Amino acid sequence: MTDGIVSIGAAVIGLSAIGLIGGLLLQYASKAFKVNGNPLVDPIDALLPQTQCGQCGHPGCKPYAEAIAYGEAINLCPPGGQATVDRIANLLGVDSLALDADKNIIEQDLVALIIEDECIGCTKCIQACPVDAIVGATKLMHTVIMDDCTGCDLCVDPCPVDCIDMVPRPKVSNFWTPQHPNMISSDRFERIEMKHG
Amino acid sequence: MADYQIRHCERKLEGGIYTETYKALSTAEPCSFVNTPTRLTFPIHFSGGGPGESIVSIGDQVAKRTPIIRCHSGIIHVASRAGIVVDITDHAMTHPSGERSSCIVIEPDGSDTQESLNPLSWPFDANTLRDRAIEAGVLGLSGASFPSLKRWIDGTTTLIINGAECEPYITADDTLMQIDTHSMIRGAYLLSQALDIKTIVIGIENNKPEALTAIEGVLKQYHSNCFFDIVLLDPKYPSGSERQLVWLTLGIEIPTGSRSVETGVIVHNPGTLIDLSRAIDGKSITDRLVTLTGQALARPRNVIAPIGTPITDLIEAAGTDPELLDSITVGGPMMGFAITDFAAGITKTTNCLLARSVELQPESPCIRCGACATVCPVRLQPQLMLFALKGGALNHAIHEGLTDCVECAACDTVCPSHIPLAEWFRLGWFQTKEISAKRLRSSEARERFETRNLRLKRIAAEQDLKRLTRKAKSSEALEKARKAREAAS
Repeated sequence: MTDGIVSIGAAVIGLSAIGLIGGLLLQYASKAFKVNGNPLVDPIDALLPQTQCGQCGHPGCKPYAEAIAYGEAINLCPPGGQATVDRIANLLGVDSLALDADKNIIEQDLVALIIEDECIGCTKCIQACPVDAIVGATKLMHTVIMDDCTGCDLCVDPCPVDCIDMVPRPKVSNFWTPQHPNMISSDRFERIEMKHG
Repeated sequence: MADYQIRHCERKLEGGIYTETYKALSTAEPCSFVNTPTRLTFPIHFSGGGPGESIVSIGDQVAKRTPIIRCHSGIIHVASRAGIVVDITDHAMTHPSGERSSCIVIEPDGSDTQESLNPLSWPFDANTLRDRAIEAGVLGLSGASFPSLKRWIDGTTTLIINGAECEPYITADDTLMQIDTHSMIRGAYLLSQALDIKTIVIGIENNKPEALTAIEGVLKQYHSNCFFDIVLLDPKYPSGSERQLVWLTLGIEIPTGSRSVETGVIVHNPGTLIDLSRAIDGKSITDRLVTLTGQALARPRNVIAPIGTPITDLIEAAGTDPELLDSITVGGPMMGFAITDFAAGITKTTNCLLARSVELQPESPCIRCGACATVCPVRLQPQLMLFALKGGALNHAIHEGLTDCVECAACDTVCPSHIPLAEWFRLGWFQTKEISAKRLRSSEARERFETRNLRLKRIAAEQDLKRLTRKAKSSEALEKARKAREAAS
């Protein structure tokens, strides 16, 4: 009889102790390994083109990444193009969508160019630039740092004298693409045919 | 007499090919100067040393060696002849892209006015020498025109002179080693002294006996405390490629992703060292030796031409009407590229103009014979990289070792299906670079965007704080005034 009570008591105490330790561990883990925010945001943000243009309806790429993590459509980014939509779909394990047809797609790599003769120095474009790529001071000429410009065109509308143009990104020696080998091969064919004909 | 030894290379190049060299074609006639052309063109962004800006304007009178282009990397290019800057405009250039870009056009006036820098006198350290090389526009002349000076760091133990001109047809370095041997040895010796290097290795192929004799002749009379180790190489292509040369001469294998300098070795072409020797004397780089060769030229030979000379003038100098050619290869037949607009001027890295009519074969499908893998000097599997690239799987190609490819085109040469493998690898390599550049740009944009948001937040918070303290003060004063009024009444 007493044996029974002792063994039941030992079991109760033992199990409570395990429960207590387990509970404390869980408590500790929930504090120490707490994840702030949605862990999907950063990987999605890494796929977005970082133009910060706001064409998706969000004030920048990070906010759009956050919105996607909470269920926003993945096909709203025109600068990223279809390739970005596919990559995000792949990351999230969902079906890819066609890029939103209403958005006008930027095919070319553009940058803003301030016509310096016409600039009146109002600083409105400097305030509009999301990536600090415009330098200048009040009543002094402004200019775009081409290397830093993402081509978001947010500076074009605020300009009161319409002196900002979007132009193709200037080519520098690091950026040229060799001819595609298929083109070279077809060129070879032509030359040979010419020789025979 | 300098301390030197001549030894045969005991190692064998993995892969590689023996080709018909055709080198005798351009060495039949002695090297000569060409007449000063009527126009000289200098690409502002593509002269070597990266993009730059013009430091002259239209109408300026320039002397020989007046600086005209300053690259963002600091390299300065000079006018190769005295004359007038007639235009700064989009112009054809000697570049694999075949594109036009802004060039400075100078019309030489035939006068002999020239500028020069102060000669450096010994002793000088590596930094002084590097600054001088940058100021005088000395580039690595191996074709990649990578600013060679970045490689000059302390802790370097060996300097290799790359006398292995393994490309068929080209004899430019061979000729330079014969006609300007003393400058080459002097440049190498002074560089070694500045960097405290004790051993200078000269890697030279055993099919260049004249150059070897010339080098030996100079070394016998040269006073130096360096040891010259002359290594005779088998004339197998591509033993002149940097990694392969380091392995052949020293037995050091350079790991993937690092450069020879990290293993304590610097490699320079004879041309670079001769230019360096001139730069020490205060003479910026104005001329270069170009091999004009190929069966389509009437008088193939080596010429010394001012940088910026149009290709047309050089073809005429070789006795052929430029109208008869529809394209010319710049560089060797293995790694060179075709140019169709002959108005382009030569640059510091143009070592050869090759005109020949080749019967190009049409491409057939890959038969998986594996011939390309047996000749690859880097021991890659070119056929697997080709499949990956044709299928658009760039990542897979990189996994197969695309970034280790030296684009030597040995695989092209042996391919029985005539597939332009090296062209594919070059394209893949550029795509890789473009993607990583884009990634870098977008991560920078992200950083600036986040910094800006933080700044805007901070400014807003500061203004809020200011306003709140001001409001608190004013309500305090108001309270006081009210109390005073109450007390008075």
